[in-house]
Amino acid sequence: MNTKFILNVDVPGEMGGNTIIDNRFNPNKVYHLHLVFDQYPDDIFKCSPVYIVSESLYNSVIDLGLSGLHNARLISYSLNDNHYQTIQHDGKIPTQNYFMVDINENGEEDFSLIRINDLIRLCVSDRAFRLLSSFNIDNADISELK
Amino acid sequence: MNSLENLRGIPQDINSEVHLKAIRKRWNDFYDANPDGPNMSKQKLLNFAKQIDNEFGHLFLPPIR
Repeated sequence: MNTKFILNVDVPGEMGGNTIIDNRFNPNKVYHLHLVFDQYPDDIFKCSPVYIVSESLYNSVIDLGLSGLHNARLISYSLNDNHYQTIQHDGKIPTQNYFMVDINENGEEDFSLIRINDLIRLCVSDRAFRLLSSFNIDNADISELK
Repeated sequence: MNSLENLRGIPQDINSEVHLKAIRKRWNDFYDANPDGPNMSKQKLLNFAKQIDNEFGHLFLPPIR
């Protein structure tokens, strides 16, 4: 059996005022995501209930034929005026595009969701993990799926 | 919810980023488990804020636990 990895990914900010979210659904449907960054984001991160990937990571996923990132949609973002510069000591600011993606609970795919003790976590295949390791996932908590 | 007594500060020491990240991840897990949006009860939010205080309050400025 191939090794799989569980990631509790970065949460680098929160939804901004231009987000359009529909809480008549569970999980909530996000029609447009405006993210306000508190700090520079990893290449894959979360803002409940959606996962977001950088354009560079998304392109690599597609080019390598990895599965599990569906229905990519461009998000808008801004920086938290109150404390971005305080938290992000090096002053680095995000400049690339980010996409929110749908990820299913289908363990056959390279990226999937898994429920562990009532918590939702990202589960990735060995080859997806090898790709992620070449990107910035510094703020993710990572463990091997037993 | 927004009263001054509920205001928390996290010292800007070497661990501040670690603590902020951990707190944001915990709130995301809470939102996953409670997708009530604006209909979420104030009590539910306050109860979880108290949990966060219990876990991280000793790191706040001033410490609250």
